[in-house]
Amino acid sequence: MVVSAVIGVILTLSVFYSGYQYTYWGDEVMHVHMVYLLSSGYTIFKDFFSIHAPLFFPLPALPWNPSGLCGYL
Amino acid sequence: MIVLYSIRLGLGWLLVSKVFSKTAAWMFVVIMLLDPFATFSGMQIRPDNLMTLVFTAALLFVIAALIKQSPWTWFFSGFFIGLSALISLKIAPSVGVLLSMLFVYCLIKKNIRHYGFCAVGTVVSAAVFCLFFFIQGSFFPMLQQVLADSGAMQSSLWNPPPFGFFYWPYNTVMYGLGGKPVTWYIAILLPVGALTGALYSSMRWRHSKIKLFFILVCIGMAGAQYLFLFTLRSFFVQYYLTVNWICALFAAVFIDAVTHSVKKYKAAAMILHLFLFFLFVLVSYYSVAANISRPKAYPAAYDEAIMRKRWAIVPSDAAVYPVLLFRPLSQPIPYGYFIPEVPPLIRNRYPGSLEALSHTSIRFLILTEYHMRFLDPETVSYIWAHFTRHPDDTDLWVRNTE
Repeated sequence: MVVSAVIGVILTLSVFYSGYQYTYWGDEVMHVHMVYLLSSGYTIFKDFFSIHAPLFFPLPALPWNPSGLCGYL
Repeated sequence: MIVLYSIRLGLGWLLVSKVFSKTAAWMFVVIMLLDPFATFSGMQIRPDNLMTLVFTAALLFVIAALIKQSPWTWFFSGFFIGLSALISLKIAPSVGVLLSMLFVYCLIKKNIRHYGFCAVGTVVSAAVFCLFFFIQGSFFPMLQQVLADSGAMQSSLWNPPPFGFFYWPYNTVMYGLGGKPVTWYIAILLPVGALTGALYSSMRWRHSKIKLFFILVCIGMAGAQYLFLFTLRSFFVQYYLTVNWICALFAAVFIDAVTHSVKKYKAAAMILHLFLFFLFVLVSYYSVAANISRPKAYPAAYDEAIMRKRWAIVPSDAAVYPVLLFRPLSQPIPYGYFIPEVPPLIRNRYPGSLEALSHTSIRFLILTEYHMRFLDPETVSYIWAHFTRHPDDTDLWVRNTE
């Protein structure tokens, strides 16, 4: 059990390492850019094109621009 | 996103332990950690990962509602089901199956009132969402872009690979290691294990109402999601996030059931446990190696160096045509789309390249030789007349001072 737990912890950490280090995938950068646009005051669908539903993007944008609700208002 | 993924794994553990057992729940977490598709796309910055988290929460509320039968748990089940579809429509087939099967379940149980609470929850989430964007003034553009234009974008993909090429071996970006590594075998065998687990568990728990309902819902959702995927012209690795957790669930339930069934035969149980332990150590060893080497498979450092060079040249408030990451827009199609690939139906809604470039506020262009081939002759002439290539970056053009 202890050995399994240790292996499990190493496996989990390696998964998180992979997720943390692997940051440059086409779509990811697109989503990051949309977060940047929202935090800069652009309004999704009106000021820029998106085929993605809008609820995700304010979440990472909020720390950058909480007062403007990320261009949503 | 790593935090979201961890919460999702935690909620998944809770869901499986509530419906099946704690052993099955731990197996589920381990299989999820070993799944290369989930590791690859489960922590990326994309709506799919918030959607899967919210959907897992919705399933937990559904199980709580089936056990407790309280109106609020039914309401929140519906609310989170609706919310997940509003975050990403990729889950819509699962949402359709779940709501339909809940309706049938409540109908059989003659408890349609509770389904009403669930339906109200779904309607409330959709109504608040629609009202907010209606007041904001972007409701109709949203409908057009998310529902209609997404289909047009799918149809316009150049050379879409079947199944996104994700099941092909010799893919270090996906599987972390070259050749046919253990991670590739996991990806290939997971749906097979899931099918076996689905058949086995539906027979084993045919007399347990909630378990059987959950199993049938999961089978229905996996079937609907796969059918949906096959209707698409092409799909990408994140599309598997909606089905791979179901595969992991059934594989985990199957392993748990097999270990449970041989419990009374001590020698067989010991051999099976040793075999599973050896298998766990082996696949973990290769998965860890793959997880460590995967980030090095894509030359991110090269892209980052180019980006940093461009950010140093282009001021933070300067618009760039067609677009530069972390710089204001010169036209409404954001970073990540290759404009010539965007269907004319969408492109024609916005100013053309010459019209966009004619604004003297646009001082920088980022255009490769390849992209230049898709521009009309007037635009190319305008570029040659008004812009000069930057000496340090041939794809970066700077407006001439007049």
